Amino acid sequence: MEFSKEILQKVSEIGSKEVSQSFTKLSGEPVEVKASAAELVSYDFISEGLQPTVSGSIITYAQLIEGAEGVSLLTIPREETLALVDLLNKQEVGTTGVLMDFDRSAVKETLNILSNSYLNALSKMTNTKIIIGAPYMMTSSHIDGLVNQLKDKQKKEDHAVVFKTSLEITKHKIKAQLYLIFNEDVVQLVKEHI
Amino acid sequence: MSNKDAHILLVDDSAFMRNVLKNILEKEGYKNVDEAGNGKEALEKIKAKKPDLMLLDVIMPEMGGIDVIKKLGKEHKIIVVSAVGQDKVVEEAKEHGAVGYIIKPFDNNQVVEEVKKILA
Repeated sequence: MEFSKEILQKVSEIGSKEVSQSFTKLSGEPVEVKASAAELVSYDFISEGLQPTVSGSIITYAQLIEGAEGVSLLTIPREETLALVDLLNKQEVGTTGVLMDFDRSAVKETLNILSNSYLNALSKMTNTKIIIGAPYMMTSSHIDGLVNQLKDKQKKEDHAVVFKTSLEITKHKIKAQLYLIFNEDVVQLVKEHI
Repeated sequence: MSNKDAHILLVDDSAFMRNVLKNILEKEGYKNVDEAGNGKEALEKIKAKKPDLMLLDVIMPEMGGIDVIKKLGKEHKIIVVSAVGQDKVVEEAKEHGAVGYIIKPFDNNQVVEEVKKILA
């Protein structure tokens, strides 16, 4: 999918706003957009975003964007995922200790809703129909594999169009990053790992 | 039959979302609520017993919501409940027979009002 600079800018502004409103509704807590950007980035930028945080592992979910050669990724540090699950299930933060299937379903649905909030805006601005697939969890070994393959694939001129939104549920310090990445190489590599 | 005895089928691949919708409906007094995890499973359940109303997601593995609507035609009461809010998809769903379309995330009241309206 090709984007003009103007469309990138507008979609980033509107998409981020839609995503934060959706996240607020889902979690029941105010959500702040800490950063939003739409730009051409190197594969290294994507790899760095997927690397585990210093404090621990991150949970990543992926959805393929069909017909537009893209992928949506949601990353949240593991401990914060547990807190998010509590908010989604309307229970006290600190209740969930281990992610069960039902909890993973809640996080997957969060990715689904946040991705579509962004894509609804993108579809409207570009007047195209964009369909997203079902979400999948990516394990830490999947992420390691993807990151290593991206590093190997990177050539000097390779870039991907990335819409990145950093969100925070301020009260509970839950940080999430949503990436919409449009690049054939990245899509193919993600397909191998989901 | 009281409106609240209506047989409602929830079709969504997310167990979490099915639980959210089930809780909303049961709180309103709808006790006859069944679930399916994808379109294929939904069609099998419908063969066994036709629901009075379906709440149907769009993006699901095995068989998506739009394909379900196309297969069932306009004889079934279907409210689409999906995160996909693109105009073309909403139009397609309604063209093929959906009687309502709720975009996720929703307010609980939206679901209640829409269900009440369709079952009236």
